[in-house]
Amino acid sequence: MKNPLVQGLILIAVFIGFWFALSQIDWKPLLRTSETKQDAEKKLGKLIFSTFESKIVHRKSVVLPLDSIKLRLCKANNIDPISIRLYVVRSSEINAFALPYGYIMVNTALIESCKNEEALAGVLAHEIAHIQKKHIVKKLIKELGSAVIINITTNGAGGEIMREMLHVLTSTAYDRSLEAEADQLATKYLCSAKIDALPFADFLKNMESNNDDEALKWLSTHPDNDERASQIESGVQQCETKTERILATTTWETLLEKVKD
Amino acid sequence: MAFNFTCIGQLGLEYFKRIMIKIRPFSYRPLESEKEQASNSYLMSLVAIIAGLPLPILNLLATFFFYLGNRKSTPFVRWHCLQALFSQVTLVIINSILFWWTIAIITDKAAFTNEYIAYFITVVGYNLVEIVATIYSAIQTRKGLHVEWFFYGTLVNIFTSK
Repeated sequence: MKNPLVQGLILIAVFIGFWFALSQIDWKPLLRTSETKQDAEKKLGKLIFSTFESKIVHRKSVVLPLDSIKLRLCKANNIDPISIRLYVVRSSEINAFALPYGYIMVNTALIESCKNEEALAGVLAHEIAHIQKKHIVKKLIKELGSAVIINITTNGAGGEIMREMLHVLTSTAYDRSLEAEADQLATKYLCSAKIDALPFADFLKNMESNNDDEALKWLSTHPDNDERASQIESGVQQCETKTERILATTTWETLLEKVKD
Repeated sequence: MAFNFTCIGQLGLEYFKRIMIKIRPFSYRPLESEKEQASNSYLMSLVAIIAGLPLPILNLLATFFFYLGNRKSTPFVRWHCLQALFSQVTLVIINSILFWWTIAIITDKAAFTNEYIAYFITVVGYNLVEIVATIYSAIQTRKGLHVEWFFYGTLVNIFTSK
């Protein structure tokens, strides 16, 4: 066996053989990688959430209708509702955003700007889609780097890092591809939950036409709204289920009144 | 436990001697200075493996420059410098793949999969085998024995016969 080609091939075959055999073992439970990742995400989420705690709205007339929308979306799409931690934040900025560990923060101004509960459901479905597709941690890693994230989860965040992290999560756009993916999934969620997605598309269009307002944060974080609206509209055409209302008219009106208070 | 480790170690060494590394006669009996220089080429490559671990190209460059410095030396020294150099090429390739794969995972461009963990273990194992083979070759060449590695030895024979 003096042929170097044969010997080289044997060496490569042995290497690939070892690699293949070892890759048949499920290493992740052995190394507990998912647990570590979940713990890090939990710490990070709770840390960021604590900065909003003083502004959280606890009124039942505000919380319960939003929970109803969340439950409808979750149940219809086999999502554990406990994993989605929905909170209303008192703020004049029209904004809603997802944080690590399943937190969704909806500002009161955004609820006010919704013409109906379907539009609000669309925003929620969009944020749930970001959570389900793990876009939040991806975005944080991309903007701040893995090293910073690991450091925060082990040693806590300093003032400057926390400000930067909040800026990334509340006012920086996701990649166009991630936004498109979240919209597509949100339309699917709405369809499965028998919620009309067209009001969500209208909400985006209305926001686009009123774009002169500086308070429209949610819009600034989500570019190309007209294009997104038309994509949602084409997604709606594929949905063949009959839509049903989520909240009673009085419940929706009370919600709007209470968030204005 | 200690007994088992000794047994495994002895079996491994026997496997090395029989298949992976063979002691063969050389065309002439090397001088004392040649034995030292040939042995140094392996030591150089050993240091380069350790230094080159974070940036895998370093070990190839270090061994290449050591070969350049000895290319006009005697056939015994040149032969062993070349064997040390050739063995580094494989390391550079597999270690570079691991390095960039790890960077891709850190920057979230690739997923942390079972395939990556398996590749990591295989590469670590390969590096360990290479380190053991290098130390063994450094000791044997210092004694004046001509050690030929599986594949790399054959390649060097073809290269030097031209």
